[in-house]
Amino acid sequence: MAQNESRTEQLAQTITAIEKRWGSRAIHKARQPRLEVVPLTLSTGFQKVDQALGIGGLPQGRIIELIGSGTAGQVTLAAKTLCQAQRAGQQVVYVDVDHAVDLDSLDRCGVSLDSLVVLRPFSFVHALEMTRDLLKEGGVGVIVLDRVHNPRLLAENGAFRQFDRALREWTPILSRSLCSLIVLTETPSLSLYPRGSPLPHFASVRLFLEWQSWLYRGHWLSGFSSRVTVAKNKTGPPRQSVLINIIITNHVRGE
Amino acid sequence: MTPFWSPGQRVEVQAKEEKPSSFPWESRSHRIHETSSHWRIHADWWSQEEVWRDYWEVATDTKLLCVLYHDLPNGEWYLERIYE
Amino acid sequence: MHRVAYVWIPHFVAEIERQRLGTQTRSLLVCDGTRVLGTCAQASALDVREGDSLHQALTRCPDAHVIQGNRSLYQEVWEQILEALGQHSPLVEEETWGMAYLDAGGTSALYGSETSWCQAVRQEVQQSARMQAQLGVAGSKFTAQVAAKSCTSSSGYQIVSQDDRSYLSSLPVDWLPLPVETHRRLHLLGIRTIGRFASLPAPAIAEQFGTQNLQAHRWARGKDNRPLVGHSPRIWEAHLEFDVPETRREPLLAALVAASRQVLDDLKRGLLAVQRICMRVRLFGGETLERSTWIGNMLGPRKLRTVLKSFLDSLKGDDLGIVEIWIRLTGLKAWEGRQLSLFAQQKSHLRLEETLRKLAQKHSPGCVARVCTADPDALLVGNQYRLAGYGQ
Repeated sequence: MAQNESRTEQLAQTITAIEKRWGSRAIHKARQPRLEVVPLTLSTGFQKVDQALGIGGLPQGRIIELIGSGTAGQVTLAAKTLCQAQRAGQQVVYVDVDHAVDLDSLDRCGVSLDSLVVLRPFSFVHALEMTRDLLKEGGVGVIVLDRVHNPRLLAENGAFRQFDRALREWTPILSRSLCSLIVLTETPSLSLYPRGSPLPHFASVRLFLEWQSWLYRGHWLSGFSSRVTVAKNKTGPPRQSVLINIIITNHVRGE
Repeated sequence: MTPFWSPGQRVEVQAKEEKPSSFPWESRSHRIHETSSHWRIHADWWSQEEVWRDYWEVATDTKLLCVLYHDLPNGEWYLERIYE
Repeated sequence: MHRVAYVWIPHFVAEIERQRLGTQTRSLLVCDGTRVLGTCAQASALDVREGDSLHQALTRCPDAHVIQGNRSLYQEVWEQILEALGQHSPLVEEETWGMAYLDAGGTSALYGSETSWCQAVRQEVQQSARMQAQLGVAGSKFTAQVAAKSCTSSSGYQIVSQDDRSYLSSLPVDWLPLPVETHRRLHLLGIRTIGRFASLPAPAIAEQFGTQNLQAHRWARGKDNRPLVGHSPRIWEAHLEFDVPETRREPLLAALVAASRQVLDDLKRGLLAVQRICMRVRLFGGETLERSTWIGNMLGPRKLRTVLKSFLDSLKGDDLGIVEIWIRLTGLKAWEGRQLSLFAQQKSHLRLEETLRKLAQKHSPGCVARVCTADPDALLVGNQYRLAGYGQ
């Protein structure tokens, strides 16, 4: 008991010393969270992914990064999320940086094209400007930014610095408006992730998608299986990993 | 499921008996290890805008599932879509 | 497999009034001012429709019993039904009072078959509002609606197991939502079934009857790809534990209000309304008590305080020590309320339109595009859709 008391006293002295030297805001007591507020979520349309995220989907009002390369299902996951957002009555916008949006596939993923808005900027930097204006004016529930780490875009002078500035500016706007920003990043593995990108810092959730195997119906190739790993999760448990199947027929089906 | 290019991106396809076997794209060679589907489109043959193409939906050893087409009037190959 | 169900409660408003008044014999007209809000089966057999003027309705149905409607009562009953339906489907999209679409995918795996699911849904409606619902289950919204409304069997449901197009093909073309003029011309041309209409080529429909008929033509072909726009139920929960059993109501109330402060901010920021508040308490003896109430509106701190206070007051005896409390807010959604959810979307749509207008003005109209269906039957995928710049 006496030892405990002396420790408490010692701790109090240390705290006073720190506060004296570094100011009163330098150290503070962590509050015991007594209640858990479940953030509002956005379903991805893949039950397994929703479960792996721990809160039942992607958090609203945050930045979400989907990482992958080639046939890995990253765009399908984004499209299915857009579909779910539309089902929940939200307005969605697709920022098509490469001018290569596949409307047919979005349609097959269940996205209602009638209410879809596609922004076609001239360049990546222009895309940042347009997204900023879009966020500032409001009225959008989900924005997909397709895509970032194309070599052509990287070549643009100071693109990452501008991106960093933009993300810094967008974060509070997103959290106020509960609008989610889904950014697609192209990289074959996390170890080859482009250096200098500000996204890993600003994204609340980062999902890495990786091709696993082809799927067959009889002798015919009908789709592919992909591994989704939660590389970062500020709103739930990280490092979860699930396998999803993407079947390509008239309707793209995710399992 | 982007990207989708219309018209496709020109690629130099190696073909054996009209069947594509490999193609270079984004400074990599993609060897086709399986054809998942193959179809032909012949439309507007009565007009100047004739479309006559052989389509190949293929899986490559580089883990791409993509759609290539062979434009039959000019003999060129194009990459139209990659399923992502 | 994509399966959609349509739940239809015929004469919803009149049924509620019938139950309230306990009358069965005379025909009934429920009015909102001088307009008809709802009719019973007898009155609609005499061609009285919702939205008719009272004068018109009484000319057709002179001996009807006329009563003034109570919108908030109907809304509350409907909310209860929607909540009950939500227990059987992950997605419920209301169309209007008494009509809703349900996501019926995967129900056979959970309930054994679609038949038993339909029975369960009907029973749920019967239990929650003592009303008989008709159900249609099909691959798309339009077909499900037709199946529900055309159901004549005593079971009260119709499951379309073949593909939508072949089911629709033998039905009269009158089921399609086409302009009167189109119906008249189809009649003159001898096209009486949906199947005959569907077999006409889309370009011919556009040319002969106008492009506004193309949607119905797609539906006739079983290609109704309108998604279900439902509100998946959102829930917020808080849990408080007391080391020493708490008997005083005031500190309890203060703790509950403090715990809810964050969620109240979130609700305000997200413009969300709350459908129901539930409170569960565990007493020192281990007994658990539950209280709940329907809100159906925005929830401010004052209102929440009043509700929680009434909950606490209703717990019998003052000396009961409480060791745990859970509060649960269910059905968080856009605050305009369900009856105006269409309007809410319209509002966000208008806001986005304004944003796009500004964006197009600042950047370039070509940079802000909407998707247009160019030629749905085009062989080349790239020609099926077109991106049109803003205002083009």
